[in-house]
Amino acid sequence: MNQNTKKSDNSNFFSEALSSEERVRFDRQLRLPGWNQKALKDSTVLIVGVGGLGTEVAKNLAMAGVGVIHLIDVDIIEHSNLNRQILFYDAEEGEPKSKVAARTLKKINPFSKYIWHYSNLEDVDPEIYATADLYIAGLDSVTARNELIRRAVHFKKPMIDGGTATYYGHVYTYLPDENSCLQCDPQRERERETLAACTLVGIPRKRSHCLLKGQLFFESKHNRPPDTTVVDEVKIALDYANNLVKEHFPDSGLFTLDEAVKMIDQHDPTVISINAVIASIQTQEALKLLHHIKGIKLGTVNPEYLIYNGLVGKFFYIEKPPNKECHLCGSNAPIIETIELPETSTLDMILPIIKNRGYTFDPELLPSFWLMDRKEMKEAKKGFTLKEQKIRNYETVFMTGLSKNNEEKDVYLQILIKGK
Amino acid sequence: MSEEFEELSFDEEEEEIEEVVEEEIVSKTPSTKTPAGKKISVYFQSTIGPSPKQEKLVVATDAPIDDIKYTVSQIFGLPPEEFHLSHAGRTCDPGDTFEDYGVEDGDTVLLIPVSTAG
Repeated sequence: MNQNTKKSDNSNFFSEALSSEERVRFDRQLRLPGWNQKALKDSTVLIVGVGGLGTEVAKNLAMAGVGVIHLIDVDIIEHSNLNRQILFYDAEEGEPKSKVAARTLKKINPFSKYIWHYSNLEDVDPEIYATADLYIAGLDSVTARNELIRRAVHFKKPMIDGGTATYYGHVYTYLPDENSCLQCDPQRERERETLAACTLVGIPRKRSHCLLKGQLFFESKHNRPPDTTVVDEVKIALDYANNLVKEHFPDSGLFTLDEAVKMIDQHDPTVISINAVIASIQTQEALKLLHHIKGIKLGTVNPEYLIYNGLVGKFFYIEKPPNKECHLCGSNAPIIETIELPETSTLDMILPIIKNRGYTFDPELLPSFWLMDRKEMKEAKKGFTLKEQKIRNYETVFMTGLSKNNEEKDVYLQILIKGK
Repeated sequence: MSEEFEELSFDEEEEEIEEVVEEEIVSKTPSTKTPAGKKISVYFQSTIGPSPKQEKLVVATDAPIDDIKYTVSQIFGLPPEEFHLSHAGRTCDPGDTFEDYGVEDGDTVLLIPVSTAG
């Protein structure tokens, strides 16, 4: 081992991985105790969801000098994003979020690489999930978080989840084999006020139903929902609603114009301050983890579920022990079998391989294969090759109809394409 | 007057329990077995809202969590759809009961935000 290169590798100021411009740019953070700029430059981070949290984390990680940042988002930009999503300040409405984010980040720090994916997280090449150092979630649905955590558990990658609700937020870092995954304690979608068709004709059971009925009254007259930018249209729905409130809920107050707007045009309320707090905590945990992944000590990652209440300026912490019965990471989870095959192999050829690994199956009722790493899960055909079915390197295929030690066992096949 | 009423209702309950024991005479279940719906004291602590709050409440362990949540929302003045109840790191499903999560007398249950927006 050449001692000179080793010396410069450990030095921030003389690291050969950094250009002289980078050394100047990062000078103040190169002085941080325990910091290693090269470790960050050699890192790859996946940011899934480039919205209120994702843009803030992306900005932070780019400024800190993380080498490769993948940006995944299926959404386009709307002007209502501009109260908190700094990366879109000069964008046109309708441009893909991931693309504009990459463009702005390149201007902020041209020394890193930004790869954008205008796509569902499900359709992104599995190899990107397999080779990234960690995932950051800035997602707005539980379904999407569940898709991401499956990849995190299977590829044993840390996933730093964040979320907000009005003046509150949370950060939770999934650490493989250490704390609970998101399926150990399944999250639930937010309940939204909707009016079932059956209650449409009856008397309103809840005060909120009055407002929904007011909206439906407008729709019955105009065949479209009220335009929330036109005060007269909102008022039609509001007046109808408040007449119902007076009749059925005389003890409670009337709805305001603003309440009517929020009910008709439903969006989660968010503000930059809360997003910035949560995203900054996500970033700081990521920076430590990236050092750890490269074998460098830098603090400790918080394994607990952190809640921030911006109304009182306080943090709360909840311990998250793994659930032994979790169907994703616990004893009830399907086994992961890694199989390396050339892309010209058919799925049929997997059957004898899986047999050699101690599995049995009914020869009359052969096991079935399901392609999971897609937006729409579909059954794979045994007689066709991996290439013909566009099965990609590191793709997960769910296999049912197997037994091991006389017990039914489902298996996740992790397909490695030979030579890729 | 009110004491008489209470005694009356106790008599009724005891009669019911005795009937059950007679029917299941072959079972080894002792007659002292705690009936379902044990009452426990639980500390409810909010992490959300404009001022942190803690309330000690007596709850039935077999009451639907949806019902408990609704009552707690009235006491704390917070809309029920804005929080989940969380015990020992597990988020309580509205369809379950505290029994399902092993909530015991003296335990703390947190009101946590439904922070799923990104």
